[in-house]
Amino acid sequence: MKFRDARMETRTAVELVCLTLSLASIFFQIWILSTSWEAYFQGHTQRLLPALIFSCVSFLVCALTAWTTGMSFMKGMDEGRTNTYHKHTPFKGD
Amino acid sequence: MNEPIQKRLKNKFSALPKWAEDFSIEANQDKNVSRRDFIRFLSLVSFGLLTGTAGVFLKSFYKSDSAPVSGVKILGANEIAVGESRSFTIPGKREPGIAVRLNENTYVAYGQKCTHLQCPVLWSKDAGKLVCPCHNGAFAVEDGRVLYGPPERPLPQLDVAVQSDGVYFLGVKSGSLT
Repeated sequence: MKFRDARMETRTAVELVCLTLSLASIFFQIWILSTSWEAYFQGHTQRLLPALIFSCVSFLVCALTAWTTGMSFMKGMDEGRTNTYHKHTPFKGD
Repeated sequence: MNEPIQKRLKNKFSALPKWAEDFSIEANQDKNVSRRDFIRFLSLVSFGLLTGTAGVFLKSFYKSDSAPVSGVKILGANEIAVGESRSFTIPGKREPGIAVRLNENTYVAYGQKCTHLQCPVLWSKDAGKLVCPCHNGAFAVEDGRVLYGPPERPLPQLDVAVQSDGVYFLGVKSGSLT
């Protein structure tokens, strides 16, 4: 994808990295949840706390990516570059 | 691009900005899910998965208050033939048990949940052992020890007493019920 604006290109790259991180975290969490159930059924309850901690870290990664992209979005708004991109975003100065 | 929007952008920026050429769509026509929205949605999914994992963790602390009630008849006299088995609910607990009649006066009983992933174990008369059909595990009928398969712990053994009118449940002999 080639943009005329280099900043747009950078932001798209950031979004793609965030998207990849989020997806990886989700798959990791799905695996953690399934192994947590297995450990619970097998009576290995000592494994549940580390699983919860890893799941928490994965969620933080997801939240961080959402925050990063959100921050990028706000930055774009301030610079007047995303006005027509989101339907709920009013025109600045209208 | 839509003419009124183009006019407003020119008024604001004095010239049409480059980003407007990249994203030349009207806001109300934007029906697609953006990458940002998708990432936010993934965060919500992630929170759901975290909640699920926390639920499993908290569930591990929960212990049922109900204790097994001893002295309850679980089988009638000669209700099952030698070499046969019968499932029953462990008195005082909402858990299944399985009783096997080994000979005329010998009964053994175990918790029926497999210690691997809690599938119900079944009595295999031909093989002479308790088998778990889910993941091909097997337990010895004499003492509930693991014969083969993925289970790591023996079955919880139940104490039973044979009376003239039937078989009575006395309590948990070894292992623990969940």
